Amino acid sequence: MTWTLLLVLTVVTVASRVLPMALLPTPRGRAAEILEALPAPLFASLAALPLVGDGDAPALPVLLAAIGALLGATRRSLALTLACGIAGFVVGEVLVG
Amino acid sequence: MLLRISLTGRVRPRATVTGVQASSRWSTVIDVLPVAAAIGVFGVIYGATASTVIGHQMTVASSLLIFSGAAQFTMVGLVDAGAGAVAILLAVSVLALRHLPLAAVVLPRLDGGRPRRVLLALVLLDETAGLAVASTRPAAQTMAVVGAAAYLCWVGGTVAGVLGADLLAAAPLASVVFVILFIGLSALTCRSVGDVGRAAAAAALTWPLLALLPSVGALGAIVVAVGCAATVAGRRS
Repeated sequence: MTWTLLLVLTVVTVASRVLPMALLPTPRGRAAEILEALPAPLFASLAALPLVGDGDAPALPVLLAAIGALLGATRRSLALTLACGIAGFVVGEVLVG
Repeated sequence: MLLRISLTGRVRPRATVTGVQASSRWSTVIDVLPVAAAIGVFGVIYGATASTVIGHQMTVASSLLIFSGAAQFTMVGLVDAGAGAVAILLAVSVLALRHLPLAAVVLPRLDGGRPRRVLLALVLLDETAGLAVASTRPAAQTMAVVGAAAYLCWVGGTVAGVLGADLLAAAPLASVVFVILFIGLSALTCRSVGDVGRAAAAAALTWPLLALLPSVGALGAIVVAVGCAATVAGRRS
């Protein structure tokens, strides 16, 4: 690992953030409709990502945290979702021992 | 009774205005705290892990400059495995592609010109984009506050890890906070039964995809999400 490589990786990461934010046009028509519908499935997919991990089934505490979060999410409150999810995780940890 | 005249000309009791402001501040704190805490814990773990592989100075510099947990953990993992510069660059570039849909989702919600968008781009993360989209506050304000807190906790955590702090025991809880947060963000951004169905389908399809092809990672998850979003019915003029 060299300082040059670190700087190149920095440029790649920062450019991947800055370029779309600076250059993407305001979406119109069908693209705007799809983008409008994107957040819910995007965050659902990103939630599933660490659940699946490297292909193994999730551990019981993680599974109970997800179930707790889903129950809390029905009230559409982020704070309640977090509280229910963490409670589920704690219950799972206790059950697993 | 103390009164305040709002910009719209309506007269409102001062107690109501200050109550709304206090409530908004509390909701910001509630949004920021779990994200910042989880990122801080991962910062400590990154600092402790990476410093044994790439050295103290480069570990801190990487967090200051790159500010991406996924990219940095991948970079250190590949260096530790003896991968070459091209492989590391390729892996980090693929991970960076996730910023494209995040920017596309956030952009329509941001006001202001290009310089402001460029500044906000520096804190474009899954978490800042998600909270900006889901929050009732202005998206730019949410991104700035959550992003600044996340950056400080990530860099501070990295320094603490380099200096010898050990939070490995907290890693499972910190990890699960992200799962919970994304479930909450998905729920908050559902505005119709159709949205709920598309979110459920995205999660259900991501699971077997990653179980079968773990290497597709976040990019695969994003492709699934875009595919599900594309099933939304077009509006008829």
